[in-house]
Formats: sequence, structure tokens, C-alpha cells
Amino acid sequence: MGEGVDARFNSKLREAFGSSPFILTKFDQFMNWVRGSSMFMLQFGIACCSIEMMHTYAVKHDLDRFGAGVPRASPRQADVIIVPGTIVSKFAPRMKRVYDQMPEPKFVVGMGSCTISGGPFQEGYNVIKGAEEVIPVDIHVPGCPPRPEALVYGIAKLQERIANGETSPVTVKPYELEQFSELDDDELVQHLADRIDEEELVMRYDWAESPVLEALLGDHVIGRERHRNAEAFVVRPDEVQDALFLLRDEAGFDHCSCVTAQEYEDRYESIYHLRKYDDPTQEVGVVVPTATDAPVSESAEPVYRTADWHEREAYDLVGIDYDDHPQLERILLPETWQGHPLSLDYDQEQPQVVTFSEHANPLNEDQRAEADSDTMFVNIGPHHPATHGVLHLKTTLDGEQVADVESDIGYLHRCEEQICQNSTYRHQIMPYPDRWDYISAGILNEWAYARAAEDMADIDVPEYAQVIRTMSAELCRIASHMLALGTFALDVYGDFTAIFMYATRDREVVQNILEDLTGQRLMFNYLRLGGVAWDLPEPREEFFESIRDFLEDLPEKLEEYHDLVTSNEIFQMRCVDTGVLEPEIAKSYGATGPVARGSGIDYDLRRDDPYGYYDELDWDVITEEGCDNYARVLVRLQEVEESAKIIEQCVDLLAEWPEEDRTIQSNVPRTLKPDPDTEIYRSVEGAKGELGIYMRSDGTEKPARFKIRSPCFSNLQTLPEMSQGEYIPDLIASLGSLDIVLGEVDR
Amino acid sequence: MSNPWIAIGALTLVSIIIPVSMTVVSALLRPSVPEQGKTAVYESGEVPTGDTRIRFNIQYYMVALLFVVFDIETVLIFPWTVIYRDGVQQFGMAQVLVPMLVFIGVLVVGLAWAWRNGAVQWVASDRANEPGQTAD
Repeated sequence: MGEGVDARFNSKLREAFGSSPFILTKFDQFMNWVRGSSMFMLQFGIACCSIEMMHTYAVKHDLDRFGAGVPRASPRQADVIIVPGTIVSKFAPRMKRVYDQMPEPKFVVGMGSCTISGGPFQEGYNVIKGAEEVIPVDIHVPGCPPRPEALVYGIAKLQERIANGETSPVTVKPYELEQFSELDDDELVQHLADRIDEEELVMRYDWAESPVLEALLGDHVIGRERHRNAEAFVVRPDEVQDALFLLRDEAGFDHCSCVTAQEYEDRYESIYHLRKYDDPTQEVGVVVPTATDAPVSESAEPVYRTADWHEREAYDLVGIDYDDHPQLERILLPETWQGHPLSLDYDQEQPQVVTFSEHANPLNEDQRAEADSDTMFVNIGPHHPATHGVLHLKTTLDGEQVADVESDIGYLHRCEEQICQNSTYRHQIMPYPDRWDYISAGILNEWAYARAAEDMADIDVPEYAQVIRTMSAELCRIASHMLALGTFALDVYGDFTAIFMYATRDREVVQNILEDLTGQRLMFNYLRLGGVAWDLPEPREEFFESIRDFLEDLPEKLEEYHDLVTSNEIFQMRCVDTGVLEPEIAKSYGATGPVARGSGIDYDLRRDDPYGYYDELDWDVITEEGCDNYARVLVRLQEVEESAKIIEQCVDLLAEWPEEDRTIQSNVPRTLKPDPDTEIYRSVEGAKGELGIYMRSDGTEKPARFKIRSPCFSNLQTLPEMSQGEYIPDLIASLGSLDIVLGEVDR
Repeated sequence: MSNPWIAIGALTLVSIIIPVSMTVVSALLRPSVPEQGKTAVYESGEVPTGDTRIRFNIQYYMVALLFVVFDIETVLIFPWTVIYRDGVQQFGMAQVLVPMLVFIGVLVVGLAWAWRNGAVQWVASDRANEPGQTAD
């Protein structure tokens, strides 16, 4: 074998010659040059890093200059896999499978800290501590996320190594794959449920006073609680549906934002956070306590369809059983997972086994019995370019039609809630929101946490900082909507050249502005409790000028997008009247953001539940009545215009702000310890919709429960409603128009 | 000397040699790591459910048939265009052009008939539209 040439390049030819004759050495050099100079990347996105990876392929960075730029959607055609992001237990076997299916010789670039060690999510119960646990990695590009330049450098280094015939001496650690039968503890749970004694439930609430709603709920109420955002009623676990029906139909609480589950020392608790679409400031909580030894409560799914997934998540992570639930299974973690990770007695160190087996066709049996035509079960994802990340759609096709579709999520469940519960309010939580919705929407997410924590601990924010927050948040919204548009065009046209590149080009401009402001392209970590991290960059005039230039060019660019996208006849044929989501259905699923506004629901927290500086500025909430894929795209494009209006006014305000009033942070104690048992649910209008945080304090400097209400989680639930019985291409378009980001769906 | 079968034989030879040599060269040069996963069907990283031997919907038959018709049409038109000029000189315009026009005309009538009958339109099945089939 040639000197310095790795065994993985061994071929029949080399084996036949045994040692290293001169001619073969020369030939090896040639082959290695070929391999390094023409690399076919696998189009493989996992998490935040894939956003920077896309930018590396796209305009400005243009990886193709280095002979490595054309991503291939199938592993059969690729020889380099960039692993961009956090690998969790459910995804690891799938990634191994994709890697296995690439032809030899193949190379792996680990992108970001998560592929080195699990990165910021290392402590998560579900997170694989680095890509090398699963597949061998040739080169690691550190960073969180690495800049496109860093990735380009990493790939150039890899090419250099390949050209020299050397590869890193990494051994493959086989990932354990085993089949497990049904869980044994199902019977035990059932047994415990039978033993419930509701008289023993411990109540700590004083329910002497009675508000208006209490009269309505009457006997259903067994207690009251005062959360920082709203009154809450305590309801018996077997009367949940009655109470919620009353609140929905009589009192008008038609929006179930979120279901929070948590375990106390003496009981379990599910909290339904209700509000009204017409006026989201009218909020009420419904608290359902259940006994520790048999946590069973009635499901709210018949009242609010959205409770389906929320309760499955509560069952999965906390371990509360919901009676009458249509499909109470694990949703984020693999089915074989033992224990409920957010319950108090969960053992973090407990090893878990993940299965990797085929999925059952849900329609197969009854089809065989009654009809003579077969349906076909197709897995779309988790590694699929149309799923916008690691989403898995279990699709059953009847010819060209979708007979059944079910989203299977949890391939990017990075234990965000657990990690936030283990971090301090003051500084440690703030970097994580950036990684929920990682499409450059970081400041919008940070604001959700900042708003909840500030309201919880009574922290004021200086007006100047509010203006900066408003401006930067809207810049994030533009960047996020641009990616939504680019990827949607990619889904509908299959066009990786024009619209996607244009959208990336405009995102680059926004990202540059945000980098000037925050120092980072993607994970800004710019907000602080009580303000922002630092003032605008000096010289201020230059900074304002860069924003104004961007805003000035924007109308022309939007015109171009309308020419390319919305006025295109083919696009209209694909999008008008496909993926129809009726407003009533959207409401029962708790849809928010552009998805709700595309169905004519006039709901925008920036206006309806004002925060920041929004109520001082002049802008409009965009709604479209179309209810279809086209309407959702139109809403996003017009929202970019509105965001631009907001930014323009903010820039004017900031430019004239008197120098002595430029306070960027209020005085906040070094350690924050909110009063014990303070509970709050607060939300902001994220790029995808209502992004809410529920927090409960226990008197320490870390939250006892930290729950994220993700807009994408609720929005994604509407997919079967939009695509059942429709054609396959409409399913793909509908999914694209929902604009989900899996980091936020799975959290 | 100018037996036209020589050219055809050469073409056959080349069309055999090229794919075989490509397979052989790549078999010699590529590292071989046989793995279970590599030989499995690729389906977005998942294990495929069921095999490919299912009953396909009959509506695909019409689409496939139309495709085959136009495929054969192309195969026939291509050599015709190559000899068209010589043909016109030798036999005159009418003899060369008219049969092809008739041939294409027949196909166009067939296509129009199929189009009118909705062969290129997917007929929605009642089963897929049935409400309450959502698994979740």
C-alpha cells in the first residue's frame, strides 16, 4: 500500500498489486486529486448549522468555486456528507442509514459544536454527544454555528487531505440497534390509574373569592390560582371537558395556546392556557391537578383539537395520562424510551435503546379487507429536501392522492426545556431561544423569553432599548420570511437557482446588518433582561445608512419577487385553492402567525397584546381571506413590507434619540430569584406565530418549569386537514407554506 | 465494401463495450465495503414499509401508454428528419412528407381523444376523500 494512503481507499486493483508499484502510486495521486476536486455533497440538513450550510452553497460564499457545491438529494449520488447540527437519539439510526447508503469512498464533515460533543445541548437527555458516536468524522468545523467561511475552510482542508491520500484515523462506533417489544409498564400504568382516589388530591388554593367566570363554571371549579398573566381555575381531572366546553362556547375562549404539564412533589398538574382570538389579552388558565401515584386526567382533545399533540407531549415528557385521548403515544421521544424525562424521579444517566424498524401502514388492514386496490405507504423524511428539516411524514398514498398523512416529529428534540430549567434566569437561558427558531429569527425568540422573565420579575425596560429591540426583531422577521419564500419556491418550482438565491442574497444583507449590531450572524444572544447587550455600533450614521440602503432597495426587490413568484401562472395553479385551511379549523388547532392570517384570522400579538414599541408605530396587520397556500405566501411577502415600515420608523427615532437618554439596560440584580410559586405565561409574535413561554419559579435562580409554546408545533398539526384527499404535490406545497422549523417544533 | 451493416455492427460493439468497461473500471478502482444498509432500499433514511409489488392504480396505465406512444413517435421521427433532405430530392416532397404528417395526425387525434376523455386528469377516488381516516 502506498505510503500515507489510508486503507479506506483500498480497491481490487490495489489488492491485486499488493505492495505499491510506482505506477500505482502515481495513479493513486491522480485518483485522489479527482476525488478531492469533484465532491458531491449530500443535501442533508439537521439543525441550525444547515442554515449556514445553505448560505455556504448560495450566493456570496458559493461553495461551488471549490468544486464542491452541488448538493445531491440522494445519498446514492453523494460522497461527502456534512453533518450540520445536533443529533438526537431518534435521528441517529436514520443518519447512520443515510451514511451507509452513500457509495465508497465517502467523507464526513462535522459542522458545529453539536457534532463534536453535543455542543450547547450536551446535557440533554436525548442528545447524542457528537457525530462520532454514530459515524466516523473526517474533519470537524467548530462554531455555533460556524460561519460559511469556516465551512469553506473546513472543506478546503478536507480536499487537501484527500489529495494527500490521508484520512483521519477514526473508528466507527456501531450504534446500538435493537428491536424491543411492547413496553411492560403499560399494565402497571393501567393498574395505577384504576387506583386513583380523587378525595386524596392535595389542594393548596384558597377559593373563597369568586370571579365572573367562576359563576359560569360553577361546580367544576375546585380552586383558584393567580398566575402573573391571568386568573386560573383549578378543575377536577374528570371534568376537564365540561369546564373547557363552557369556557369555549359560553365565555368565548376559542384559542388554546398551550398545555403545560409539570410534576410537583405531591401531584401532577396540567395547565391549559386559554385566550381569545379576538382579544388575546383576555386570558384564563385551567389547572388540572392529578395524583402522583396515578396521574390520569380527562383529555381536552374534543374541545380543542390542538390539545391532541400538546397532551401527547405532556404524556411523553412528564408522564400524565389523558383519558379519552385519540392516540396517547410518545411524540418527541422514541417509542421505546423508558421513563418521562421531565418528571422528578427521572434518571438522566439511564441508557436508552432506540429501535430502527419499518412503520406500519395505518390503512393497510382495512384496505385489504374491503377493497381490491392497495394503498402504498411512503416515508417522506426525515432526510428529505421537502420537509424543511428532519420531519418525517408517514404518508399513505392512494394513487396520486394522499389517503392519510401523519407527522412524526422528535428528530430534533434537543431537550430545550430541560436545559432552560437547569440554567439561571439572568444569563444562561438567553442563548437558547436563538436555537429554537434558528432561521435568523433569534431576536424574536429572545424577546419571548425576555418578556416572560421581565414580567415575572417586574423588570422595566428603557424605551431606547425597546426601540432597538423592535427594530432588530423586525429585521429578523424579514430574514425569516425571506427564507420561507425561498424554500417555498424550492418546493413548488424545484428551483434552486433563481428565487432561492435571490432570497439568500437579501438575507445576507439583513444578516450583515444584524451582525454589525449583535456580533453574530445567526445566534445573536443580543437581548438581556432589562434591555439589550450593547448600544448601536459606532459610527451610528454609517449603521443607519446601511439599514436605510437596505430599506430603499426593498420595494424593488419585492416587486421582483412578485414577478417571479406570485404573478407566475404556474405558481398560481399550484397554490391557489390548494391546501385550504378554513378559519374555524385553524382556530381549533391553535394556528397562529402567517398561517392563521392567511386564513383571514386577524390575530397578531404585536397589535393585540402590545409589547416593545409596536403600539407607538404606524403599521398594519396583514390578513388574506384565501385560506390557501397562495394566501400564506402573500401574507409573508406583505409582512416584509410592514416590517420595513416599522424598521424605518425605528431608525428615524434612534437617529434623533438624545444622547443622554440612551439607556440600554435597566438595573437588574446580578442574580434573579423571583418569588416562589410565581407562574407566568407570556407570548410574543414570533416569525411563525405566537411564541409563548410558561415559567414557574421555586424561589431559586433557576425556573422550576420552563415550557415553550411553539407556533410551529401547533401549525404543523393542521397538515392532515390541508392534505387529506389532495394530490401529493399539494401536500408538499402545503407543508412548505406552513413554514415550519423543526428546532421549534421539537424544541 | 460499403455494407451498411458494418456501421450497425460497430455501433452495437461500442454500445456493449462502453457500459461494460465502465463497470469493470469502477469495480477495479472503487473501494468495496459491503454493508447491510448499503444494499437496502433508500427511502429518506427510513426502513421501507412493504415491497414494491403492490397493485398500482389503473390510471397510471393511461399515462404510461401515452408516454410510450410519444416515445415511439420520437424514435420514428428522428431518423426521418436525418434522411428528409435526401428523400425529398430522390422521391419528391409528397412521398416523404405526407406519410409522416398522416402518422403524426393519427397520434394527435388519439391524444385529443385521450385528453377529452380525461386520461391526463386524475380521477379522485372516494376512498382517499373519506373523512375520518386521519390516523391521529
